[in-house]
Amino acid sequence: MKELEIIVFSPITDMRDVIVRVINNEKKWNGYGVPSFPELMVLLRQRSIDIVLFDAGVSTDEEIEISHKIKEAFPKIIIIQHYGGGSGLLKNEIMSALEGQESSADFIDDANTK
Amino acid sequence: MNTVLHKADTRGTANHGWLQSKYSFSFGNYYNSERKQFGMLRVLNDDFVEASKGFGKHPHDNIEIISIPLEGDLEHKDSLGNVAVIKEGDLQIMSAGTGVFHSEFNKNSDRSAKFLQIWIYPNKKNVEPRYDQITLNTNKMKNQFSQVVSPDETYDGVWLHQDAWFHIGQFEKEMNIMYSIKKEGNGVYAFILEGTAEVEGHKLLKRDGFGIWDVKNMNITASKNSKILLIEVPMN
Repeated sequence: MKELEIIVFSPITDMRDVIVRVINNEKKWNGYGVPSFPELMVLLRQRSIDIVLFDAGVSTDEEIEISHKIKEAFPKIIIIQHYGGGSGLLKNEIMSALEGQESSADFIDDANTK
Repeated sequence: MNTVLHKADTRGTANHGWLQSKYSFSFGNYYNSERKQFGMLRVLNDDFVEASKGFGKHPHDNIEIISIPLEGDLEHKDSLGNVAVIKEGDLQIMSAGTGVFHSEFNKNSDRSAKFLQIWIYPNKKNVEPRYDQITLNTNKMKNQFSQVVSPDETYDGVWLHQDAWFHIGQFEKEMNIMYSIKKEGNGVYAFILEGTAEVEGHKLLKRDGFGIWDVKNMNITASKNSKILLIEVPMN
């Protein structure tokens, strides 16, 4: 199974750090936290990122604007709004976003699906 | 009319030893693409927590969290400075908004706690985080549905950032009730806490869930000694 590369975008350090830690606890998932748009774009150019996840502290307008810019430069990246459920919803949000993606089978491993 | 039926034994499960949970909708490691949410109702977890155990400090943002202890007591602490015990018969709301850290522990060292955890997507992002709790008026729930959550702080119960309403009814005898949906575009999800009920012709047992939308009313026949939670939420 291919490793999933995820950026957590949030200006709130302690919230962002928890989500990055939760991501890194998953086998085959790699999480990176960035607090600002310029740092986000630097990391997107440096690594082959699969998902950008918006966490706490990002307004709806910012999400829309940043999403457009990401998609212009990196159209295959999946963008997710994380609804602050930490590990409770995070895996679900990622699984849900990967559903229907051509490459999803590369990332889906041992989730408890019914 | 559209409906969905979730039998109690079809819920997702998790057993962490100190915590045993049943999930009406996808949560944690339980993922079912057909059970992700009911409109803005995203999480309905039925939790059992061992004595003195609980959820350590963890964050939430941009979600409305309602906790209803069914047995036992929980001690809540959060980064807003709130320290509170929610007891059986209470109801707690936390609007996570821009972000809040909190913990919830079984307050008692000699008995387990059971509670419902319900998460609703808010209608406004990045609000100021807030916390509130009330003791439910059981007299108002006797043989009728009593409002316990609503969008307006001037109404009965606690309020939240969403056009959602919660009602609880406790029925001593068999009764027919028609619940009228309060906002066009909303659906309502009935969750049987105790006993049985018939909802729109469907026989429901304890912890069954039944959702209905694209209707104006929900017809319920509550059985004797039943207790029912109704969660009305926007479907979009």
